[in-house]
Amino acid sequence: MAYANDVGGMHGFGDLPEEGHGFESVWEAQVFALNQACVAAGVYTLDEFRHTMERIPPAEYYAMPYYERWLYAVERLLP
Amino acid sequence: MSGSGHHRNGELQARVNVLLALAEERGIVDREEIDRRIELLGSSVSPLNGALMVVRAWNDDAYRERLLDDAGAAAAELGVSGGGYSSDIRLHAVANTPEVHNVVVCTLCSCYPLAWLGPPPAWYKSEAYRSRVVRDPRGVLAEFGTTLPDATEVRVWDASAEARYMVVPMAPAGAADLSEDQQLDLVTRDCLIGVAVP
Repeated sequence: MAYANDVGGMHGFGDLPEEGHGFESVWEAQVFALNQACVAAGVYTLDEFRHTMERIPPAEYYAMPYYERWLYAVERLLP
Repeated sequence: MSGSGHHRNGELQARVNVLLALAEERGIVDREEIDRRIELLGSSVSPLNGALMVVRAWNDDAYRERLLDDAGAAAAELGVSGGGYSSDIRLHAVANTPEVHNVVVCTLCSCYPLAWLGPPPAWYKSEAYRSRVVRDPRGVLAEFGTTLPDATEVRVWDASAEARYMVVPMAPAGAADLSEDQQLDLVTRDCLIGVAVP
């Protein structure tokens, strides 16, 4: 079975969202920068990071805001 | 929704604070470096970098060749570092021609040439864009006000952790008569993603 993130070609996701800024809250920018620093420092690789996000159970994956998926992954890879 | 959103933000910030403290304790990164990285994303890393590369390519055939051959090196030539992550990420430039139009997506997540162009727009990260642009690229382009001739082939590039793409749009008619600053204004972020043309 495909993981939840593999949405290429799928139907039913509706309209494109409004423009939006890069980061909407401080924690989003921080989790972004923290992940970047962890990858740069070799704590884990970008592939490990992606793989961790991709294994989020589908129902949770779609319910999570974008950067919460990042947070979910860093919480599992950093400690 | 917005009320509970505020509560969620507080909870998520608290979770991030735990990680930031842990990373500092382990000597991976301190708060100053986190702030410096965020500052960099807000300032020097922006779509203007991509626009500079495109405009140089419009005006200099030799640079255009180097850009299409090794975009990361061509970026570095203009002082655009692409730093911040790891050297495993390669930047590829794909050029529009009268026959071929290129558009970029990451169907699996949101891979984007961020280190060169800044953070991606919200719609680029959405399931709506990621699912649909590979199935109906012309329909998605039309939503951005971009209509291509039927004869034009549309190529959709699916980015990965290692390969990031930027589109080199064609210079519009009359661009050669403009100043470099005026040319830069034509090359928007959406042109670099391929959902718009200058």
